[in-house]
Amino acid sequence: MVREAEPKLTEFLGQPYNFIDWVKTVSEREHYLRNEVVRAGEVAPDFTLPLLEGGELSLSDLRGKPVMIEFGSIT
Amino acid sequence: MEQLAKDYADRVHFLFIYTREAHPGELIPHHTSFEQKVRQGQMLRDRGMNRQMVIDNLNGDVHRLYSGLSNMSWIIDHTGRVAYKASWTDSADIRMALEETVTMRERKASGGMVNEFYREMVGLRLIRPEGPGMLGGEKATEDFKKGNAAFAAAAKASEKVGG
Repeated sequence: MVREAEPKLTEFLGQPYNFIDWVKTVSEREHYLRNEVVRAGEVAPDFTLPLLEGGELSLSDLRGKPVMIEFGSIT
Repeated sequence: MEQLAKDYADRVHFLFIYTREAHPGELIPHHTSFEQKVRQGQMLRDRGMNRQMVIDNLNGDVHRLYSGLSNMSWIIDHTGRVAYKASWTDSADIRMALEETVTMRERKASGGMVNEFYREMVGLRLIRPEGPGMLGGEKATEDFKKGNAAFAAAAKASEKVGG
């Protein structure tokens, strides 16, 4: 079952970043990751995003092969 | 992670989701437009990130859907189910999880009987309190040092496994 996207998390992403403020949100986010977003064994929420080199990709397009997803940035 | 992607290239699809900058500063700033986010995603590509890359929107909707932690890893099995999720990306840990996911699928396909078991494990990692010298610039480095001091104090005060 896919749950609603983080209704309780502090609105923080999209704001100018400060790591000290980020630290304050980590335990809340980890709690969400552990207990509220899909659990291991459940179907991952689908998404569609633009590819860097053009076009789009949906997670569901990749069924049939395991997918390793890393979230990250340059810094 | 790039080595892991090479080692499993024919058996696993590797996807990198470019999110907000974790430690922006004067050299690599936080995003104020999607076009800027795409340009900085290209910078990551130019620095040798060879995996398929998608760009989350400026609001970070997909990042937030999956918890919004700065460097998470997820493995989704061939049926679309979550096989692994971690709040941090540890290539040795992921190698172990991928090997099991891939090998057990192959065993099952060749007639083996495979069953699930449940497990949890607290991951431990070393952090560098002095900061790694942030690509974002001096502002990011100073910010990182202060934030890490707060992390260290919280860990020391806690009764967590790694505290």
